[in-house]
Amino acid sequence: MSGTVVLTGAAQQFVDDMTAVGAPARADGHRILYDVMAVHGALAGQVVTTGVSVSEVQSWPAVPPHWIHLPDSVTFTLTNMDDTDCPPGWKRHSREFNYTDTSVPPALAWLRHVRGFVSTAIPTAA
Amino acid sequence: MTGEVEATMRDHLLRDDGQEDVLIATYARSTGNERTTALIKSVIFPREGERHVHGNASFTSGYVLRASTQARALGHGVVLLHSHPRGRGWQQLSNMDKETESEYERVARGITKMPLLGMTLGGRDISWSARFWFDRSGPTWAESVRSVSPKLAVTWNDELRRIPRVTRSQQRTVSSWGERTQASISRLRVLVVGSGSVGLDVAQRLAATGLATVGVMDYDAVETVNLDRMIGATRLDAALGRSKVKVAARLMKSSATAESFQVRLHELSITDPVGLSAALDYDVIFSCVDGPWPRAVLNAIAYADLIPVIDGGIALDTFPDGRMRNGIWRAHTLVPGSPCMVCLGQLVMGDISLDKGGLLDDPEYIAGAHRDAPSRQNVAALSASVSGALLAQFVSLTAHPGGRGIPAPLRYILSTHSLEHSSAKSGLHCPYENATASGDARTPIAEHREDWRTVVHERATKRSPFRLRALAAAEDFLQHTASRIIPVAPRG
Ligand SMILES: [Zn+2]
Repeated sequence: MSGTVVLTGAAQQFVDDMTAVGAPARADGHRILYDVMAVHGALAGQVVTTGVSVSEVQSWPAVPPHWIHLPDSVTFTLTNMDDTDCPPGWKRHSREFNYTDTSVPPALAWLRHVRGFVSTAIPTAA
Repeated sequence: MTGEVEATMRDHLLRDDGQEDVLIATYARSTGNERTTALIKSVIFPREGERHVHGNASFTSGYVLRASTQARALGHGVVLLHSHPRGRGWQQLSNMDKETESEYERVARGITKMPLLGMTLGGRDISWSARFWFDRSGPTWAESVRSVSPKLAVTWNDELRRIPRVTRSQQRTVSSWGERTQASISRLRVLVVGSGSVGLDVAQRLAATGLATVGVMDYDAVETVNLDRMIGATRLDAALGRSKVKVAARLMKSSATAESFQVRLHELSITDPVGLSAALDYDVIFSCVDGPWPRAVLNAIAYADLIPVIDGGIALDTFPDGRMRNGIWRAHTLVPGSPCMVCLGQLVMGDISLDKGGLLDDPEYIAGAHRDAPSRQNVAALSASVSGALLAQFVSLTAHPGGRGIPAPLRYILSTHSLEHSSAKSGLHCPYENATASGDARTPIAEHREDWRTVVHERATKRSPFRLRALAAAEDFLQHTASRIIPVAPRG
């Protein structure tokens, strides 16, 4: 997706915070992308590009995002998903984020959540 | 200001040798619809030779310049403070104080582009006074100075917000905590967000306590399904689909004991910037809503804007056969120095975006996420326990019985009959508490939405059947006449 979206203070903060916890993040149209390494599952050991909608981090860090963007090639047994803000070949997955331990920085908690999710990927049927 | 900042400034300004002293601090703005509050941010102590202490203490221009430059770098305004060690109550300005502030007004405003704030501490009873300098001709006095910690301490400017006269129906209230406390509590502007079973009860009891100004915020209407819990709402209210705030106003007016009682109605959503601005005009807020999004907005206000938020709720639990297993109600006050809703485990941050997206009410989503549907059980016999618990927090916050302020967060467990004090602590990375005193620089959580506006608009344009309207008119007439013929009686 092209077209530059100017990041608000909160969205820029998300980029900075993710970068600070070891997942350098970059704006890409209406999304912010970064890479994570899957530790288990079908993608164990692989680096996967993932991201969030810019519209979902307008209140970061007080309100964390919810939807996790991933290429179509990454599949799961059970998730709610759709393609809002997704270019062709991508899907947006829903996974509940139960962050209540504020002794952990919000970006680190989010990164662990996404890494945990990506590690539950199953082999693609195709 | 927070209690912590107040203590720091007080320790510097009240000297062991009894002399006057001066100090500079910075402030951020918190802007409501009608009120602008200066939130004291950081204290800039004088360096050697930057002030003179003997007789009338004074600032050097070097100190004011250094502090103004520092304030500008932070995007803050400048506060010049001095003490009157033997002063009591709201302090006025002597001619010399006035000259000093007027002289430095232009320096501070020129550098920071924000008006200078002057503050005086009266040492005898720790009372603060404050004024903005919008130009050098003269100060614009503040209405009150609030220090927020587990104890809320307010110094009132009696000229701008007069002490309400005690009325005959308040005798027992006043004899419980004294005229001084009544004079302070009755002047607090208190907002109740959510006018359901708990909010409606809280609002009426605040009115009966003698508060002069109480606001209620809710955009919903009374429905028949609410009548088992909204005590005072009638079948006519439900049949007419009256707004909850109008019903609250009627009930508050009939229970108010103040000589002149002002009820402010806000048919708004706290999750919208217009609701947020309205809330920023208040001194204390009751959170009587249960959605994660509105509660997140209130959780933020408590810290970012230093307005204490009293929050709580009830959860009932049933056995598979429908009998009651347990009930838990909670009450806690959010102020700097006490853990916020997230740190208490009372707000799951991940649920806020689900609520914003409407997913928590979406059965398809709930099934897909393997989530329990929100439990809606509630009984009138127990909702009074929640409002009672919230009101007790209010009394602890404002009247400080036993010299103490608010307790640790409380929860009562119905099945074991036990009252527990939470030992939850604030997390180092809590985004809400780390935004303390950020004011208008807060992270925006409220968003403009049309859905609640549509609800309010449709209700305003709906026409009810004639017989219901006739009944409503008769009821209005009766209430209006009763309050004219039987006014609130001043104490003789
Ligand atoms: Zn917190």
